[in-house]
Amino acid sequence: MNAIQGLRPEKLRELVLLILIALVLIVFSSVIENYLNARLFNRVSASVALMAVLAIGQTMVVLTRNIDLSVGSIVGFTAYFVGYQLSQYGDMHPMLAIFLAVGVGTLMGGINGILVAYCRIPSIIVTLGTMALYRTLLVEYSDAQTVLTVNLPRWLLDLPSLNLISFDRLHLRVLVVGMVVVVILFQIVLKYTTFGRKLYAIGSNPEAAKMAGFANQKMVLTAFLLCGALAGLTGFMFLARFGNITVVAGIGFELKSVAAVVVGGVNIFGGSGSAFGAFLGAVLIDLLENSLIRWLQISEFWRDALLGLLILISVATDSVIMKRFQLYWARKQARSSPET
Amino acid sequence: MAVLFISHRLDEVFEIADRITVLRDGEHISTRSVEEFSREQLIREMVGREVDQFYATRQKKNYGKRVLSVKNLSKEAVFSGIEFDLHEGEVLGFAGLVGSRRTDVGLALFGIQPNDSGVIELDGQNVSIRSPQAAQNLGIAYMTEDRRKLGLAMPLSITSNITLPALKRYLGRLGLIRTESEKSTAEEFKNRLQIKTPNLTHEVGKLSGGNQQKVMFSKWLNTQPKVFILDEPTRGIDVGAKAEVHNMIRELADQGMAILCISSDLPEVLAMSDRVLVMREGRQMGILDGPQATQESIMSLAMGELRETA
Repeated sequence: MNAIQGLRPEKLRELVLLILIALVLIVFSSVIENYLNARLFNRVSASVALMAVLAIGQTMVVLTRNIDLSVGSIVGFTAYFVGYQLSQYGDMHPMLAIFLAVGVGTLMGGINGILVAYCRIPSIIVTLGTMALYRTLLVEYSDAQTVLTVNLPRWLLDLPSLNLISFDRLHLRVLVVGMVVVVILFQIVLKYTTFGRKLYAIGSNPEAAKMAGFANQKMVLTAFLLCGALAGLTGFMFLARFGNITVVAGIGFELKSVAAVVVGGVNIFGGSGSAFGAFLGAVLIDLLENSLIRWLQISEFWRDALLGLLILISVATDSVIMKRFQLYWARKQARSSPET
Repeated sequence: MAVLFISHRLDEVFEIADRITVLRDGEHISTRSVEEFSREQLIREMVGREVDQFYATRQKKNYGKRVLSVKNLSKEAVFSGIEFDLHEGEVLGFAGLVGSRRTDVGLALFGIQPNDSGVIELDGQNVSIRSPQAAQNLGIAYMTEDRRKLGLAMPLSITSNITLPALKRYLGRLGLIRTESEKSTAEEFKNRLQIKTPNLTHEVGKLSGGNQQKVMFSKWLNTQPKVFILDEPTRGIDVGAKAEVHNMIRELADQGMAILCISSDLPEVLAMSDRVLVMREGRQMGILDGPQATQESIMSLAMGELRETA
């Protein structure tokens, strides 16, 4: 009991998520025949690779008490934009293509950040607006045309099936490795840099952060810039994975990224959560989605319902059950050690 | 119509009221008709209580060189004409009633609400303080009266809160925070200020008021300030913690820190301070030196009887 009490809330959440993921695996492997196989891993990991990167960008923003609803449109736009450029200039260097995607995403994130941090417009309004704007930009730019796989360079089409290591039929794909690098990098940034600490401080108490001498507006802008950059990177991964990019690319990603973040234990009111938690949130959601669709053979339309339900459950868990638990622990502690 | 008029502005009370009821610390002290009250007696009854036993007065009086000098400090529509010197090892009390704008002077000196005229000299140098960051770089710390709203990041750990303003000191190779070094700082303050907590990763929000206050105290002490501005250092904490905070303030002054202590607790101001600056509605009413400062003299200045010497 004492060991659990000593844990920071985000650590506790990560532990709970790991247990839940294990439970999902156990339950479904008993109801679905031949469930735990290489195909499940490859499928879920390919999908999580995109969502985890996007969710970590979202985490930066949510930590500062904001939200970015435009990430789906940023993913769609960068995927189309880079895809179109590649279909025109097939000899473009792969690094330049990635750089382009990240750059365009950062720019779009920057617009969100300036409007939120310096014009003091609530982020939910700003990003709801830019969600529609960036999507319209995509429709106009693409002229409702589709980027087709046949026009894309070979290296890009090979990228998603490129394996770093393979065990039998279990493949560790390059995109998945890229995602793992992003998760580790941002886990370190949040935990061990002044930037990360300031994000938590601003999300916990903006006024106290100002007192401590932090430039809150600059920090919020930076969070949006990073979120945009990671959304751009996700856009590139999306292009690599799907090849055919239409104007609806990335629709629904905003909901899914928020779901991953919230399920991953990042407090929607800011100030707590971790990159690793957001990653676990993305894993749990994808695993559930995949498994439920296979088990019940429900239509894909149920995915949104599942996401909605998961968001509601995790927020309810946070605000009701965790509080009950904390109260219970506090009382128990008060009884056992009267001097505190 | 029957009117119940609540005020601490004595002129208004004497002008408007027929009868006066004095309340103090939530207790009824007296009710008499206005003719039966003299000004002095009313003040005495409002202040009332004898100085408590544990408010031992400060003994040491030999302070060092001048650290902070403020001349004609003003902020339009907030305060004006604030002038004082603060020396090493000195505690200057800031007294006044609600609305006297004591806190605003503190906020100006910390760069939160910068002054718009007047001179601030630190170690003989003219300085301009436009942001909390600037104030901290000059060696000024300000501990807020409102720890919930302005003071602490409640969901963060005790350790994170203590090291927050001085985070740069904890950077190691690669620009990463050395959490071990943070922990040892937190451990040190936990022992020094006797913060009662099961562990230092505990959320600050779950601590008692007194312990939260000590965390906030540690946080600013850890910036190693030359000038420490304390705003209501013992608000909302129990008697035991109060005495501990008082001892801490004395200890710091004895070690040579220059302290500005804003407080509405008169016995506290008297016990802690070498001199007391009294404010009323944004104006400096006077500075009372050592023995001149009594509850009555502070109150009469605070309620608007200007001293010729001011």
